[in-house]
Amino acid sequence: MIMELLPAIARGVGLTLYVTGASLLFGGIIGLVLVGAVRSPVAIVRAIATLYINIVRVIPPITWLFLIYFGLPQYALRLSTIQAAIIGFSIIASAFMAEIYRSGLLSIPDGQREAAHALGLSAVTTVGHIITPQAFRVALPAIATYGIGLLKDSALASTIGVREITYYAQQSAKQTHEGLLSFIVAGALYIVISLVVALVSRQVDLRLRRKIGVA
Amino acid sequence: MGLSFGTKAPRTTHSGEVAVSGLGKSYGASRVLSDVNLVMNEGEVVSIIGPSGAGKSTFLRCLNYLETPTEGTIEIGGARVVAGGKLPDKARLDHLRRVTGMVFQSFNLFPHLTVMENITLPQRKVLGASKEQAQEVAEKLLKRVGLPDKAKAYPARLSGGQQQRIAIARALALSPKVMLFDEPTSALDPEIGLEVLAVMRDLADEGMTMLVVTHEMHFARDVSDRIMVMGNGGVLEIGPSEQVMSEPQNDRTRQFLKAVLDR
Repeated sequence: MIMELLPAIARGVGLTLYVTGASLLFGGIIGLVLVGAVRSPVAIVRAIATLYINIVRVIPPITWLFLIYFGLPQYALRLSTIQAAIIGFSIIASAFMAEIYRSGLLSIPDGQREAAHALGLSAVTTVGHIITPQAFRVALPAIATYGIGLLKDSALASTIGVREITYYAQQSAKQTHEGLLSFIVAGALYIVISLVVALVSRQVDLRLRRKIGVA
Repeated sequence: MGLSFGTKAPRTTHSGEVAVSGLGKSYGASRVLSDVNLVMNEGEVVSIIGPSGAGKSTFLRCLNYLETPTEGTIEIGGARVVAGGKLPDKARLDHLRRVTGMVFQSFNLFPHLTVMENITLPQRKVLGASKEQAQEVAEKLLKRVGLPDKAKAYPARLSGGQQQRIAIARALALSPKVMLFDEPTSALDPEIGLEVLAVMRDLADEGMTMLVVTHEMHFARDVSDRIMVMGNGGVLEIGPSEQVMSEPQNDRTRQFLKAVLDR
């Protein structure tokens, strides 16, 4: 039975990875803009960014998905299920990624900026060559952890019809009446993907740590 | 301590000259620095000593605007800034930082860059040097601070003393006219501190203009031309090193020197 269920459900792995990866990528980019805004010298920019981050984080992911997929068409903005899922998860990821970046930035000792200033490095060079690489190194484990969290959240995309792992598990359960086994297979697939992500990030983290130590 | 410096660099003429007048800094009503005046000739070494909280580091950090002074003027190596409680315009600030090099108590090497990259990155970004030029300068400086074989190492792999010597090389790579040292040996074991002091001593011998905040009384007396004693955010006295050490004029200086020399 498993030999039939596994390939049927594994068809969803591609879209699970696609939705998770794309959302993490877009969310990561928007998060960069957000963290810049949060640290902006302009009070109103800071306030808007902080408000955005807090609002996004307290609304449940499934509410976001429904809002975008079922709500926006009311204003003639009709999205495909995949587009809606990626937009929704990107918005959510942006707020969390901004917070992760922020804690990464806070971990950089003042001495690093001072040394850059004393050497006369420009603001762009200081951020690009001194601060960001170090902050990224600090943030990497948190980013991996969040990525795994997002992977699990992506199962919610099945509720709007994205054909990812959980979607196919539901289909299999209905068609074969092997509900327990179907969802065990789905769970196992999530475990395998998470393990791979965790192992890779751990390896990268260890390599960086061994090489340059922790600031 | 067998520090070899290879062939000693020829005595270069540094055109560093410092003229600080009426420098002060207040945070609201509290005054942390008031009316500091200091004129230094090229090649002169001045040590700044005094109890903690005297404003020594604050004074030094005002000179390259890591701290923003609220009054007074700073002239260093042709750069001139009139303090006004905010950062000067970019051109002046860049100029000021271009003519000063700073060495910190906590080294502040960039941990994600190799020793070579720590020394070449600023040259490439600030001076627009090519990779080859920058590496050539770095190799010479690494020899000078006695660490020619550490180019590929990351800072975390080095001892504190080695890190500080690299930090000195990094600052020198930009050919500053004046070097500012902010308690460069305070974070080091006394024994390790000696290797850093040896590098500084050589630098002084080569004619670098140096301003050194320090608790190393031997260095202050033997290497510096003059000693400036600070207390309570101001200058208590300044004079030739021997004189300040042996016959201080100010009561507070006498008290401080007695405390540090009697231990």
